[in-house]
Amino acid sequence: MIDGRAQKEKDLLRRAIRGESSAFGLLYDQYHPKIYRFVLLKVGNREEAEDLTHQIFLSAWQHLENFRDVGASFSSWIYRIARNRIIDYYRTRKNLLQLEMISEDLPVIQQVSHETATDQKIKIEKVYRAISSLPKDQQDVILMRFVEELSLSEIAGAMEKNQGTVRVLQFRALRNLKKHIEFHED
Amino acid sequence: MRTKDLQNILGEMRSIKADEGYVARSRMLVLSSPRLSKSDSSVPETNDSLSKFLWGPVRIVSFVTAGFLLIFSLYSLSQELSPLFLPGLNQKKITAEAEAVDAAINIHLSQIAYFEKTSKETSKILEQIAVKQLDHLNEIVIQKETEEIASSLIKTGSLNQEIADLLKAVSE
Repeated sequence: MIDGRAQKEKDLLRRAIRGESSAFGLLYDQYHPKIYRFVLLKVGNREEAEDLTHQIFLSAWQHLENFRDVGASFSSWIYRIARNRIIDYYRTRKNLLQLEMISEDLPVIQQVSHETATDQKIKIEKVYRAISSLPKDQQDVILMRFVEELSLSEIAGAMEKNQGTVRVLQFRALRNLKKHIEFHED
Repeated sequence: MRTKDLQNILGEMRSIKADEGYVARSRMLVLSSPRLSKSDSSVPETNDSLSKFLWGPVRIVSFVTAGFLLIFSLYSLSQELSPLFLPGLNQKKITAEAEAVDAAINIHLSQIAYFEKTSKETSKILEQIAVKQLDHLNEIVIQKETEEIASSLIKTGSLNQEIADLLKAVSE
């Protein structure tokens, strides 16, 4: 099943690199929700997340030939573009996600499904606040591993680190998250 | 909080979704924008200024133009800095200056030679004057002595006459 999906993705990529916009459109449909979510959880603002996600896919489409040269998986490649764009965003806007800036009406939480119970939403908000207190690399590992369900190798490719380093980052991130949540428990 | 609980909560965040209208608009804009490939000769119509700059043919022309400008600048600079064009290192001027210095040296050398010659002759003459044994060869001295002798002879002659007169007087 996984091999079939991977083969289908390779075929789509081949066609997209040749210039078939419809093939890239299918890749867009597959990856847009993940990238948007990742960006939103990083920057904490819906309008900024929409704008950044649009730029990420525009850049990916216009420079698809670069992916062929890099030789990584498409997932790693597009997450790498996303991380770099977010870094540029932080640099230009100096809009680091700070705990003080997060209000009760958290834009991120507003986008959580309405079907999710209120108490669950409260827990999500707590976890989200905890994530925002982590160093940037640990944030990325947590979001890519447990929200977007990327494999360790995909995360390593996206962050341009080896898998061992990613495992260590994951271990530290989970430990720090628990500490933060337990410290702020009522 | 257990790790499992934490992972479950993180999984709940997967329910976050983008606005459908925005997704449709963004998809259309992305797919309608031209690819920035080397083989693409059309002008990109996109709001992404970075993409415009990175467009292949424009980039190539820009680099080639920049290359020509760089080569031309280097060539002009090399001409300006060439030893042939620096005033201080002008070959002809250096030669002319050297010749002038050489001529001045020659003048001084000839003057030195003249002074050496005249000083030698002067020292000879001074030596002759200083050494009395050579007086008899000095024409001026000879002339002077001749006059002295003549005057002394005249004086002697008159003296002899006076002696002769006295002797005659005595003898008478």
